Amino acid sequence: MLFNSFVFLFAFLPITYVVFWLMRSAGPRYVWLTITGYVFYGYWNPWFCLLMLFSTLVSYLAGLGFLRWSGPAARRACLIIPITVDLLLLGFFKYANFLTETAGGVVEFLGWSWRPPRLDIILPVGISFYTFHTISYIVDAYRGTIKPTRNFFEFAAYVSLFSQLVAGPIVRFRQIEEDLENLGHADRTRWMSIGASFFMFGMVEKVLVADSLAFYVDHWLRHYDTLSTLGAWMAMLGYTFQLYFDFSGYSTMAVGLGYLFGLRIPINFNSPYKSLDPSDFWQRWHISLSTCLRDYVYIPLGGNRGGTFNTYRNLLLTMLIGGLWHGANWVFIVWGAYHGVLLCLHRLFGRWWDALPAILRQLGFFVLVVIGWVFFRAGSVTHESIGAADAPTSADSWTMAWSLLERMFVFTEGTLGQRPYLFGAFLVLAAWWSMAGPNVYDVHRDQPDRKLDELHLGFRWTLRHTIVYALAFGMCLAVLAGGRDSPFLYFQF
Amino acid sequence: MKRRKLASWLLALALIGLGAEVGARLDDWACAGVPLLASPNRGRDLTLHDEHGFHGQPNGRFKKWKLNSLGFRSPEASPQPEPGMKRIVVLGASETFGLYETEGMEYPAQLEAMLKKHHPNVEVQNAAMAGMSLASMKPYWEQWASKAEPQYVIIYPSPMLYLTDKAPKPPSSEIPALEPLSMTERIRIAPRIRDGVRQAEWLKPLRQLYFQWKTRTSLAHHSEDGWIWSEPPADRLEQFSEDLRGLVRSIRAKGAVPMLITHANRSPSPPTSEYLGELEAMRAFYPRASPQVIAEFEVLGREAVKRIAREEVVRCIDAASKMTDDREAWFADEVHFTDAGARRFADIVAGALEPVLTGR
Repeated sequence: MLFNSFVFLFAFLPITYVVFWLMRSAGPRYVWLTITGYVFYGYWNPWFCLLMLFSTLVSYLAGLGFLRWSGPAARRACLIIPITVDLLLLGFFKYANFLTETAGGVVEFLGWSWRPPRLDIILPVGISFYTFHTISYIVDAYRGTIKPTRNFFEFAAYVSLFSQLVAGPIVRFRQIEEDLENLGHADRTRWMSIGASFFMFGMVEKVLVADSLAFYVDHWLRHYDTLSTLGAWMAMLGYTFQLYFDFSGYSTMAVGLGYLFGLRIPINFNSPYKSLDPSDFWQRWHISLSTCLRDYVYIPLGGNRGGTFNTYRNLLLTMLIGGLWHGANWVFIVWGAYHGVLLCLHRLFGRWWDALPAILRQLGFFVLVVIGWVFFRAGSVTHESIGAADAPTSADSWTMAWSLLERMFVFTEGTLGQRPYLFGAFLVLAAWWSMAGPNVYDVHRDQPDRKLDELHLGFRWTLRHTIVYALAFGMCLAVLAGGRDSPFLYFQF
Repeated sequence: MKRRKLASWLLALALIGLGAEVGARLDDWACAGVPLLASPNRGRDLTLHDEHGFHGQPNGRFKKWKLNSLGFRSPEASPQPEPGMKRIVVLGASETFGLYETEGMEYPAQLEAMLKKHHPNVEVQNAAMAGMSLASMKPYWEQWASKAEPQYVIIYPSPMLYLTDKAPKPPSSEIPALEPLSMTERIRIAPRIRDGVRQAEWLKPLRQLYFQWKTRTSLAHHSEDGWIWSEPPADRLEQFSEDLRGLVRSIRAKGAVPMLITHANRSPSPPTSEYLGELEAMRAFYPRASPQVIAEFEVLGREAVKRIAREEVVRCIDAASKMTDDREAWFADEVHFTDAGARRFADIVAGALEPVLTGR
């Protein structure tokens, strides 16, 4: 089920909302959020609910283990066993074919002939996200950052919370622990207006901006091997903005939905295309992932302690893992490595880079980001986008990536996609909004020093909101009713 | 206070309606090039009934459906094939014209892309028209489609279209007068809502209830004996066969090579329980036929296609028997393809055409 589907908007959300607020205490609300989370997830494929339930049970029991045992060996077992189980599940569903394909390639390179069988595995939607939720819970419990809950439904509600279940943000238990504890006392009217406002803002980003861009981007990239240099740049710029508005829109809707149920889900995007350098970018793009990678990979690896070489090694390894997390394809690993190298270069030459005027740094770094997205887009290549009869392989991704890069950097005569002037106008608007315009937090901040988790305190719904959001909602409904496919790009991760 | 709240809700509802209409117009303009103030209409924009009979509107356009100057749903092409070019024309109904597929993913378009990999001098023209039965196809071929002078003509006939209340017949030779559009036809959000309701998976049970009610109402008006078929109607099958035979001969007479494809369906035959509901819903269009009769008629229709191919010595591509592995992924409803289904179908047809094009 998608947030921008009619079944969600007109059946699931109203029923979930009304029943939730009819309940008066936290206990039934945990149960209700758990049930609705499983319904939301099971709508896609009910069998994978069992997988999520299993992962939830394992992590919950590990939490109970931490409460019961204080000896280091037992605690270490409570840390290692459930994380191993979670990673094995993720590894099997997400990386099994990738590993066998890579092994086959290595064997072939060594001169033997072996074609590994391709396993018919369906990747459960959102497995990367809820695995991160459960792992972060276990690690935080082990470190003593959080006190594990004894209430199974409180934990199950956290893991299966529909607003962040399948495409994030990656919410750590500690970030919503307080709101979960106070769920029985949450005040509906206090949360409703800001929740609705965030949800609508996200919907505009997703449905009106990202999906409009997607219509052109998909069409242009379907014929990527015929594009001219200008065409390749326009298509990739379109994808750059589409990806941002798509994922940022989804995250904003998720935050809005969280508010509607009295839960403050943390910020995930903070105008990333306003970044001036790589380290700035990763503090603005998919913040929940980058902070998880920092806290659970980079710092345990040693972080920036241990000398220059170790710092660069840790940065590269962290970004490689970040790339691999996005998908089982070498192009994602290259994309991660690319950003790792950018971070290292910035550490090396940051002093010179920072001396440049801000506008040059913003534009220069933006171009580097666009180049990175070529690999990212190539990793998401589908049958339809390449018009191939067979299932796409890593080779298809490489072909697409190199072809696009070649066209972008070596002058190529070719074609543009459909309606280039209108597409160009969309690009200008999207560029303005993402690189200079306000984001959802700017719009909802009533005072410059207002903390992000206290936005609701200063927000007041006015007639202006009614007019703007009602018109925007109507427009979104019209686009959604148009029948174009508009899945969230991050669902595939 | 309450009055103010009510006024605010009413204002919001009115603005949502206004926003929806504006959004529909902007979306049509941005994605399909429809002028903001136009009143597009599928029938008027894509079809034309003139002295050449009933055919596609040259350069017609409605949402994702765009026709070329020949009135076919294909990229622009010269009126007659360029020297050295092999032109294939595909005749059929909405399954061929394309309904649910993404633009450019309907099977004739994918077929052309597949064939061009090995035969760059081949072009495929999608001359299908939604709802067209074989009875209308023959005059359409003779008066319009044959002008494109194809070397090969592929026919993908839909037997089910012969189960309508009245037997299908060619369109009248009289040119109908155009009636002005009504107010509801001018509102652009209305067809979107209608299509959304028709296609929403979660509304399927409600839709089936509605169709069942509609069928019951329709049946209540026809209590006479024999109106409801207890078995596939032999006269309709005979008409289907004869219309197909006539079309094949007419194509030959114009110097082209006809080829036939058997009709593929989502439900197996006999239909299993999970497909009965959907077939029952089809009684809204074919009230005289029960789900079993529809399914059996489709099987007999396929047999008729194969028999006529044998008798008339034309190539028959038995696609129906090869579209059974992944029914849910390949069909968007009982007869129309998804993108993946159209790809599979095109793959089957391309494979069968290979020996024809290489002269083997």
